[in-house]
Amino acid sequence: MGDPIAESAARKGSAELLILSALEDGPLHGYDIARVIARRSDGLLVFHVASLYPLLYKLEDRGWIVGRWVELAGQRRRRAYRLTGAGQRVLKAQRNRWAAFVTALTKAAGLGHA
Amino acid sequence: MPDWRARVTERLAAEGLPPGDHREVIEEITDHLGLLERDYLRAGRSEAEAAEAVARELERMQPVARAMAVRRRRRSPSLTPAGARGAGAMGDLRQAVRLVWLRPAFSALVIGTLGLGVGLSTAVFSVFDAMLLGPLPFSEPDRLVLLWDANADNAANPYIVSAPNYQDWTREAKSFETLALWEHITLNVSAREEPEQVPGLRTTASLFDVLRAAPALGRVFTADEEQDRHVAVISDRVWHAHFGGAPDVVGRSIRLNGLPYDVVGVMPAGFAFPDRRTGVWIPIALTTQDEERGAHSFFAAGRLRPGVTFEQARAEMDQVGRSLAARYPESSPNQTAVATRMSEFGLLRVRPMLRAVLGAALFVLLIACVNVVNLQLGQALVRRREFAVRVALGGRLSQIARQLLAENAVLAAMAGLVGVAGAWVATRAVELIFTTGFRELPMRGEVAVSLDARGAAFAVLLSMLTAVVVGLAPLLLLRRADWQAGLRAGDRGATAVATRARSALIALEVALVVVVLSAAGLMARSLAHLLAVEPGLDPEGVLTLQVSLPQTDTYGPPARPTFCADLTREAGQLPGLASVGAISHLPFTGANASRGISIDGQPVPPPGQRPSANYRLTCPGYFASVGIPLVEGRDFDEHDRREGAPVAIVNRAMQERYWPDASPVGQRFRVGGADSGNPWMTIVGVADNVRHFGLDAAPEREFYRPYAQAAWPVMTIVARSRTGAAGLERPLREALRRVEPGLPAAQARPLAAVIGASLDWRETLLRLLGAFAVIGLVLAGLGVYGVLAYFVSQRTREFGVRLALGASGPSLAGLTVRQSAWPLTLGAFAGVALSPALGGVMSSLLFEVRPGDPMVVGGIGIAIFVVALVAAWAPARRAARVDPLTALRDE
Repeated sequence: MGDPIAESAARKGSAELLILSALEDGPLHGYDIARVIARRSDGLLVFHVASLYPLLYKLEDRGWIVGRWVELAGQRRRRAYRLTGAGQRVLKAQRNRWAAFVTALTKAAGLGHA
Repeated sequence: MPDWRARVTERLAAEGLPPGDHREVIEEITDHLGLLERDYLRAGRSEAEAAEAVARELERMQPVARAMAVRRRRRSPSLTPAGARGAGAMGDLRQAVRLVWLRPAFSALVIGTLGLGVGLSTAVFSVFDAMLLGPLPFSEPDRLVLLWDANADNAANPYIVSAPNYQDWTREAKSFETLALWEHITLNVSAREEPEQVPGLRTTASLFDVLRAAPALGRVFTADEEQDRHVAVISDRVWHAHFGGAPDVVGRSIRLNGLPYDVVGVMPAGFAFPDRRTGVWIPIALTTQDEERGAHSFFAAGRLRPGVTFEQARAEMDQVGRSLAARYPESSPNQTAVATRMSEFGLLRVRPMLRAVLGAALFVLLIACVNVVNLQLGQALVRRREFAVRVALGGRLSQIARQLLAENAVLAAMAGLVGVAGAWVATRAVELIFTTGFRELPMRGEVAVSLDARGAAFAVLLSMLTAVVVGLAPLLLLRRADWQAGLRAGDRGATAVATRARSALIALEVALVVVVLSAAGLMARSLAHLLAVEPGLDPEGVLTLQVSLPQTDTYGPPARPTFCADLTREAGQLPGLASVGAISHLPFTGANASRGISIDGQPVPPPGQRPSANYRLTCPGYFASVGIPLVEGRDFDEHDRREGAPVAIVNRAMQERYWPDASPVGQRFRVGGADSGNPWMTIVGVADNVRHFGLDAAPEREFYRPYAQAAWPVMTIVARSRTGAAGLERPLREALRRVEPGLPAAQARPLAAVIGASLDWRETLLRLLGAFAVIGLVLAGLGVYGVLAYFVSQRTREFGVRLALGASGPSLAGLTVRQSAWPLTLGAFAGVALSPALGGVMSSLLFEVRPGDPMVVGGIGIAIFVVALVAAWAPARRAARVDPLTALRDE
């Protein structure tokens, strides 16, 4: 499975942005976070267990997201993550930074002409 | 369908994570895999294909395992959720309690360190409070003053009072409600039981008014009974010892120095005036000798009138004293009168001593604080990112400060509890550390030291202060820019700032510990110097035994002129005994009397410069028995009798002052003024000086008279044994019984123990300061260790690279040690520079040594060096043994 982009994105810190934005519309559990990101990126960004959960725990440690066990009738209990207030502010800040970065990259590396 | 839960558990276990600790993670990942498998199947894959795809997810579980391990180790949950939940102080506190709970090792270290500091300080404060700040046990004690005669040029060192001066004060001084006058005496007490020596007072009846002290039984005597009635007030102890506590004691007879007195009252058990041992108070009955204005032998006290301040009374006494000096230029030249607060009496030595100990305890607390600040700084670095994000998001530093304060308040509160518990234990131990003699203060009796509300309040206050200091220090040390640096991935910058801050803290800590070490070192040197001082006598094998003789008059002829001869006859032949003698004022006990003299053939100097010397009565054999060499002439012998020619022996100090040029043997002098009519005494010998007032005091002028010619109520028998002092007590007591049955003798003490007792307080002080110095040193060592260990852990990767590039292990160990060398050196120098400040606090406690003493400084240098080496050992070893591969893989 080729997912070099998600793996390296994790290194560069953009994975945080991906996860935070996945949670922007409401709480999701881990598997659904990975699915939302994959769907939104047309399958280009795929998170594996090994890359997803360490990140989730890290973000939770930082207080940007909170995981809660929820039990839905007739289903097994699942841990759902939601964005905290701080997480929302970080998301906003990171979005701005990444937008600026992408704009700069586009201009500097000539991506627009590709 | 494979059992994914078992597979996940197994994979995590293979990465070193025990399943018991991570049920929720296992459950979450199992769920994830189950959903993934479901979706593969829905997408049309075969079961085998789906299982294989899912299994691939499990191949690389190491990042999960590592994330979990980090999470477990740190357990440092974010502050933000609490902040986000918007909870003010309560939220901060809840969060703080949670944090304390989640970091048990860190919290225990902080609580233990601060608890130690707070506990020690509180215990010392309790002693300080009880002994120095506690009120006197009398009604309205602030109005009680002591009154003294003094030289107008040296009013800071007043002396005891003459009766005529006192009588003028009672007429002329308006500041006082009542004044009282008393003299310390030793009485032979016998009623029903064995006779006993008891310290007592002959006093004016007004003493009980001044103190507002009422008897527990009967009454006190009245002013009408002062002059010629044989009545006595006795202490609770004498009542029990001699009357078995009989309720009908009032009206019964007690023999004091052989004379019958009527017991009129019993004082309550706690009454200790002027000290705990005082057992009898009798009317003052002034004699014609007492009525001499130059005869200073009394203590005086007064109670201020309501509304009169101490300063007003002091000013008035000065004025009254000067007017008396003007009226009696002959007997009271250049004199004045001085009032001092009664509560200050007897604290001259205790006060600087306890100040030094309290200072040392507070320094240890400061060192403990520095250690905790260091720990906090380390924690702050760990949590830097979290703080940085909050700052980046517009969070105010004040919010972070509030949170840190709350955390430290919780830690300090727990430390305070530990401290109070520790202080309670320590105040129990005070009974063992401070001997009864040390805790016994004039007018207060034996001071009980306990942890009371004030002590507890002190502990609470100290804990709160500590919380503020250690809570805010990390914020002050890491500036806003450093927090922001934390957000950017490069965290070396902030680390460097923190490392510098921590080095500065180490320097501070070392400086503090050097000051405490200096105090202990100076005391040790003082004691060593004192032990090297020649006492002027040879205490080995000498036993002392105090006896009371039937004698009240300390000027007149002896009532029992054959005492010395009887003693020599009965005790002189005891087996193993080398020699025996006796003296009125044994050296090193503080006992003293002095007399003005006039010297035959020398012009009478102007008033105020009249010759005088300390006054001793001895039995023949005294000098040989205690080992004071005779420089010239002879000792007294059996021919120096009451009816014989009056003789005296002077000491070298007296000879050098009054007969500097020629031998004084054969010269004459007399007690009192030139026209006193006292007999001339011929000098028959010169004795060498003895350090009568202690090893730390210069010898004074002394002269000795034979007991057969001038008596004293209390004599101390000194017996030199050939075989050791211990075996001598029984035969000596038996011999004494043959001299006179029923002669009360106090406890026998070896002379060496008498000298040792004069050093007691110094040893106590040294033990305490030494203990604090050791605790401070250990704390400082832990601080150095902590910083170096952190230094190495932060640079493991760098060390790995260096090793890979060919650096040697020892060179990295050296780098680590060097890391601590600068702050240690700096701190040590700062501490040495600071320590002269101790001179002010401790000067009166030191003997022939000053702050900056090269031996002390050198010793401190060695101590710091050794502790630093020990502290650096483990981190340096770790640095030298970094495995390059592991180090690089770790990142």
